[in-house]
Order: sequence, then C-alpha cells, then structure tokens
Amino acid sequence: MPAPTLAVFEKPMTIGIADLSVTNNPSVVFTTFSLGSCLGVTIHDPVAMVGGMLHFMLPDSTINKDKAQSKPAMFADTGTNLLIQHALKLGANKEQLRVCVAGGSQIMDSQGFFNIGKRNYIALVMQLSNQGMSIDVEDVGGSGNRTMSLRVGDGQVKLKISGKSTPVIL
Amino acid sequence: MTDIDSFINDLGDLPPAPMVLGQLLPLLSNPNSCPSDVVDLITYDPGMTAKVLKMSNSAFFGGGTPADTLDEAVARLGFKQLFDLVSIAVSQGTLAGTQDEYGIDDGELWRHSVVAAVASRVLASYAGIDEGVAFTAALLHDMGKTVLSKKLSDKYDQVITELEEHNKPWDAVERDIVGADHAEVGAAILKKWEFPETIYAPVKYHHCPSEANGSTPMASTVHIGNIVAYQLGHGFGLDAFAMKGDPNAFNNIGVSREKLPELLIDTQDELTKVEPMLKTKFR
Repeated sequence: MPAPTLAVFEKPMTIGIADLSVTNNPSVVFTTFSLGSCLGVTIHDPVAMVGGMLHFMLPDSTINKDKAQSKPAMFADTGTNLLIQHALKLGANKEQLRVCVAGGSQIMDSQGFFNIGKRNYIALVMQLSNQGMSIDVEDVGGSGNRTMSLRVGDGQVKLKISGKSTPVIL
Repeated sequence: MTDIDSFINDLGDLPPAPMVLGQLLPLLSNPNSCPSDVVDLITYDPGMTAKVLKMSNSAFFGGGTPADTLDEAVARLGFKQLFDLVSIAVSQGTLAGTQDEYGIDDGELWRHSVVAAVASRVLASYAGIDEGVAFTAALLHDMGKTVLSKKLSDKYDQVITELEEHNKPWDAVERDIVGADHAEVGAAILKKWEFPETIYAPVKYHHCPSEANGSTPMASTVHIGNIVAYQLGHGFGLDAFAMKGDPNAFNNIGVSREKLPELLIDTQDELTKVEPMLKTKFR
C-alpha cells in the first residue's frame, strides 16, 4: 500500500500599505505588493515557527499623532516595535529572528529632496538597533518596484522586482 | 509643422481620445454648473453610463436600493466625486493595454495615473491652485507612453543598456532612441485633440517643471504627484524610478518640502476612498 500523501495547503495573506501581521500558523504565506519608497520587513523564528511582515510608509510617527494611534504600521518606529512585540508574544526569541528588508526605492534626486526611501531605511536600522537587532538580508534602494512574500512554514522570503521576470530569494 | 507634430502624424493609430475630459473641466471651474450638466455630457454614451452607474452603486455609497438611472446615480454623488469618477472612467480607455517595452502590464499605467492624479489634487489644495486641472493633467501625464511603446518595440536591448548601464532617466533614453520623449509626445497629442494649454503644458513639462514658464506651478504639481505615485508603489515597469526630481518643484508652488510625508498620508487616505468605486486596491 503506498504511503498517504501529505497535502499542505498554503494560506495566502496580503499585507496592505501601512499594515502588519504576525502568525504562528506555518501554512500562512504573507505577501505585500507595491513597495516603492516604503519598506517591507519580514521577521521569522524557525524554532518557535513564528513569522511576521510589516509594510511601512514613513520614517517617523511624530509627524501625525492621530495616524500613529490609528495606523501604527504606517511608520518605522511604531510599526517595527509592534511587529517585534507581537512576535515575542507568540513565543519568538529575538536572537533567533531572521530579519529581511526590501523596498526603499529612490528617484534620481541629487539633493535628496524626495529621499523618503533612504530616510525609511535609516529609521528602520535605528529602531532595530534599539531592540538589539539588525538586518540579516536586504534588497533596498535602486529604481524598481518590489513585491515581497514570506512563507512562514520554512521562512523563505521571495522578491519580485518590477520589469524583471525572475524572482529573487533573500 | 514642428518636428514633434510630424512625429505624431507618422505614428498612425493614436489611442482613443478622452474628449469628455476636455468638456468636463470648464464645468468644474464654472460655479453655475450642476451635476446634470455632467449627465448631459455622458448620457449618450452607453458604456460610460453603465460605468458610472456601476461605480455609484459600489460599496462606497452602499445601502439602499441601487440606482438605475444616471440622474439617480448623480444625485447620490457630489459634483467633485462625479467629476473624479467620470474622469477616471474616461481615462481608462486611453491608458489601457500593456506597454511591454516599458515593462508595464495591462492596467498598470492607468493605476499609476490615477494615483498621480489624486496626489496632484491633494497637493494643489495645499498650494491653493486649481484642483481640477491638477487632477486631469496628472491623469494624462504619461499618455505619451501608450504611443511611444510601439516605437521602442524593437529596441528593447538598447533601452536596457541606456537605463541600467548608463544610468539615464527614462525621458533621456526615449529622446536618444526615438528622438522624442513621452512627455512632449503626450502633450502634442493632447494639443492635437484640442485640449487647453492649461492641461497639455503641465504634461509636456512634468519632468522639468521649472522650464514651463507660465505653467510652472501646475507642471510642478504634476511632477510631485508623479513622484508620490512612485513612492506609494505605483510606479510600474522597468526601472520605474528612473526619473530626476526637480529640487525647485516645492518652491515653485510655495509649499514646504517638509509637507511631503503629509502628502503621502493624505494621498493614501484619498485612494482608500476611491478604491471601492474603481473595484481596485491601491495597497
């Protein structure tokens, strides 16, 4: 008698702009579209089997206190802290969390007037550093538009970059 | 006839002209116009009537029985909302299709243009300049890409080399390869379609707004609206961000560049409002 086939059904979940989610369900695959100057951040703890994704827009929540309350995932500071808090609540361990980052595209802007992407990146690095963490793998800057996904089951992070047919695995 | 005019004449087939847009604008700026004037414009276009009905019956205006006549649908919408809805629906025909040479899939150019239009209108409201003109000019700013795409079709490798190895912005690549860029081509087509200068001049100068003379404030508004669309992730195709930012753009409209993060937030909020009408997600 042949061995029974084990079927694993993936559960796709879309993370919108200024949104985040964390889960310990290994069948979840998070995807976020349209990363321009925004940054997508994924965290994954392979031991606790916890994964999460954040798609934030702006570096600093102090510019809009109402939004910081109603949409904390809009900003690097409030969003990153919430992402990590949720993961820890689900049993993740900071030392085991693999952090991947994508996005932060830039137009050609010699004087840096429109450099939200770069400011987002600097803000994220600072927030992670405050938590005693750092980025493990990144694909940031440049002139493309990115779609990012995280498969919680094995922690695989995949990027699709606009105009390019082959996805990149981080 | 100028070089650009003969360039347009040599192109052959042009996209469908969004004539209704040209007729809508004067209505918006006339304080005496009312929604029924807009109804008069579209009532003989069954496709457009169906679209407006469908959008006005969407979740955004939910509750109650669905409207089945234009008059009823229009009564539920404000004049500004009706203007947006008709403009966006009309532009969809002009901006449809794929632009493979730019790496742009079906519908993406239209989505980028809608986001740029919404951002430009928000910015126009900060600057105290005409919001309707900003919206319409931004909605049409990239229409030159729909026709230049064909001109670039057999020069794909050259485009990639110029963009990636020589690090040039898209408009410079277009000028080097086909002799004209999408901004001037788009403006020339709009002029040929008898759109007013208030619309085609900002389209022409949306990559170099400080050179637009009398149209500099509106061109600067569209320039920034376009960048905001990229930043919010609605810049599609190959090297979507390959464009130069004009450092004087904010100064040209008397708005502090420190307002950029607020502009991103307000634009995203506005997009969330139009999403249900357009049955699309600007996520």
